Amino acid sequence: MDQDRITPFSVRIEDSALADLRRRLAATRWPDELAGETWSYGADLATLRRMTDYWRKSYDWRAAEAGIGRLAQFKTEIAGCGVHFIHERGVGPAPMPIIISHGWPGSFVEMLDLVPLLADPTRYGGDASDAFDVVVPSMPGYGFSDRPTAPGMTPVAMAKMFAELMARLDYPKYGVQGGDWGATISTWLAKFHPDRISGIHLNWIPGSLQPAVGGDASDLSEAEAAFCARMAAQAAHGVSTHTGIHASRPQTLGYGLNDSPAGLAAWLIDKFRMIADCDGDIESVIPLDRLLTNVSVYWFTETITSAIRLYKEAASVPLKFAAGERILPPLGFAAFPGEVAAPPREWVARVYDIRRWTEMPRGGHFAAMEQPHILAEDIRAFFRPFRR
Amino acid sequence: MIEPFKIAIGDDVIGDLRARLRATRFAEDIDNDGWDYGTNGAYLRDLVRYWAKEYDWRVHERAMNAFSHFRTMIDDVPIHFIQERGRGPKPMPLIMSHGWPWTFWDLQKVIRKLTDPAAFGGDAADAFDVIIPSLPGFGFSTPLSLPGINFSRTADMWVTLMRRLGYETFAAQGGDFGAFVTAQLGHKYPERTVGIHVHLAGPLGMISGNMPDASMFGPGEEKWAAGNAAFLDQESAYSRLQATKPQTLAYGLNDSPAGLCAWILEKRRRWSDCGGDVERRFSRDDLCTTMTLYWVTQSIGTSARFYAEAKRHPWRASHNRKLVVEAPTAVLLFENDIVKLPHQWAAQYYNLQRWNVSPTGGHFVPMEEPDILVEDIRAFFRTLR
Repeated sequence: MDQDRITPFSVRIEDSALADLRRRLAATRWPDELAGETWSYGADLATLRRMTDYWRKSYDWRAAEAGIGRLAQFKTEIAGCGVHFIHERGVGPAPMPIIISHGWPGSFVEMLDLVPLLADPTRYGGDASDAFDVVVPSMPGYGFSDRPTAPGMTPVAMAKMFAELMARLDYPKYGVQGGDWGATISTWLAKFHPDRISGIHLNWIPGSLQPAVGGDASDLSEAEAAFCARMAAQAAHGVSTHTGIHASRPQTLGYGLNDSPAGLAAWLIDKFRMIADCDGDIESVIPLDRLLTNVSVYWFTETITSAIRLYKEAASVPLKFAAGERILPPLGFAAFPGEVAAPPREWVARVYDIRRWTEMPRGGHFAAMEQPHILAEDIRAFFRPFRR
Repeated sequence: MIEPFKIAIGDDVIGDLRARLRATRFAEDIDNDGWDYGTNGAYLRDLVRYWAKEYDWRVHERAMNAFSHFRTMIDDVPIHFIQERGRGPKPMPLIMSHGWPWTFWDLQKVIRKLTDPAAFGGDAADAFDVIIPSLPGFGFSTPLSLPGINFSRTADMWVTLMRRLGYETFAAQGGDFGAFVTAQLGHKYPERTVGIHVHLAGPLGMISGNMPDASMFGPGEEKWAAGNAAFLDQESAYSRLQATKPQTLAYGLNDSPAGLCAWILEKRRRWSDCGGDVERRFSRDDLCTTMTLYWVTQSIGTSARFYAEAKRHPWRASHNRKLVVEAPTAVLLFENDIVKLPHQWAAQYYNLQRWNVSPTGGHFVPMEEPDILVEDIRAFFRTLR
């Protein structure tokens, strides 16, 4: 009877955990750094010291917690795993339900600014008819969702769980949105349930997407051939150095990051800086407080290892499409200029039904954190024709 | 100036290490008995408990100090080394280079056997003066604050070191990164290098991308090509990370001894010929001593950076003569090492005088198969005395 129960949830970290974090930060044993080098060998020492100093002395977790608490949150158990989610009801005549999936190195924290913009557009100068009922789950193994207790928690498994979540919330038809892993999960959701998904809005095309292409290279456009060559070169040279470890030996890395808050901050913030549209200054697009809230969530929930294991789990379910196999729900794509390795439109069109393709003026991989307003506007515009 | 050096780690450092180990916030591990996801949690917890509560660093520090240690500055880089004089009519100078994640102490089992063969049933005529430096940025060759110190620069520094010790010509030996340092000596300084002995063969430009053609793998070597490919596919992410972002990794590993232990332990188990039981090749004390050396010298970051320097400053040939390595060369391969290149390639690359393949042993040869290594070194250099 309680199987499908949805319980209100609020984030509350114990004082002892806050004290332990501060103690560990104060005791950080810093590595040395090369004379005259800043970010070239990885996270810059002076920057990281300043950030973690702020984290220890000035950052106010309780204020962040209160901010998170302004959004309605719940937990429910799906397939044996407690799933945490934000559920904000839209303010408008007929809010459209939407489920937004986050990625790595983010968490539900990525969506804190986006949720109110979508749920209550009039408050931000928008139109009440654009309101959404917004659902933002934490992926299993991330944030306040439970850590999986067995291998096999793939993006496919997560998509199935999120479909169940939306069913449990009584949404027979809804939109999906996401970037990073969230784009992969959104794509699987649309693939499994084309009848339930009214539209799919992405701000990232999964790098693992493999459309069916003809036997010979002449099937590819010039831009596609260049894109494929770039991806192959990246794979051969291992440009994605963080994710290579995640996808092969995540546990080996996890021990250090779960035991050292400075190590965790370095791992996450270096990645944020690499792929945000920030010219090397991450704080110019994401405030330090918000970055640290995201790092704090990883720290307090001890989820860095379960989070990076996803890269290994995902290898068993590549986003590979056979000839003629397509994602049926309409796609809106917001192409952010600072994004890594954006594929050409014709590559995307092999799989998705592209109805909207917006070249965004600014922003990178963390669109919801970097540019929540223009992302929200693109999401609203895309779904407008698909509201009943 | 060369100064005698004694290893003496402060009680406060050891106390802090123990306190951190006891306070470890272990990442949860699930269903990972085969270490497929990386270091197994249950084994790590047990080893960390042993390291914190039972392991006695002082015992091993004393064993290290039974050898003669020195430090000297070369090109503004502090270099630590062991120098042990040979006992025999005419000891040959031999500089031995270690790798990552090794320390100088991985050579502990071969030193006496090479300096004093007669004491171990060998021939005094085979005696060597043994010089074992810590690679720049490793162990007590720290701190390393200069960029650009790759294995080629290290080879230059070794020539300076040997001259400073009065050795105008010398023999050289090494594995892992040490094999590259050694091969570079045989490439750039053939007139100084009596001969080189390596237990990892590979083109000097390997880290910057050059590998021999698959067609060169001959009869009995086919499975090596597959093994190399599997290593690159499954086990090389650490190398790509260390070659690009060593500093990002260093924050966690220099702050968490359990994290450091997990990082190195996985390699010790995966790369050695241990059948999945790391303690078949390394005792718990061996493992904890390696970890403690990395921890107390705070060298995980600078040692990982050795990969980045190799990638950023690709190897450049000093000449384009027919053989890249003109010094007489012995290659001793181990079937269970991580990367093995074919004989045909080696014969075209080195002045190859000796080629042997051991069916047992893995990557950490001087710890795993010290006697096979010692015998091969003696036999090879006997012909060059």
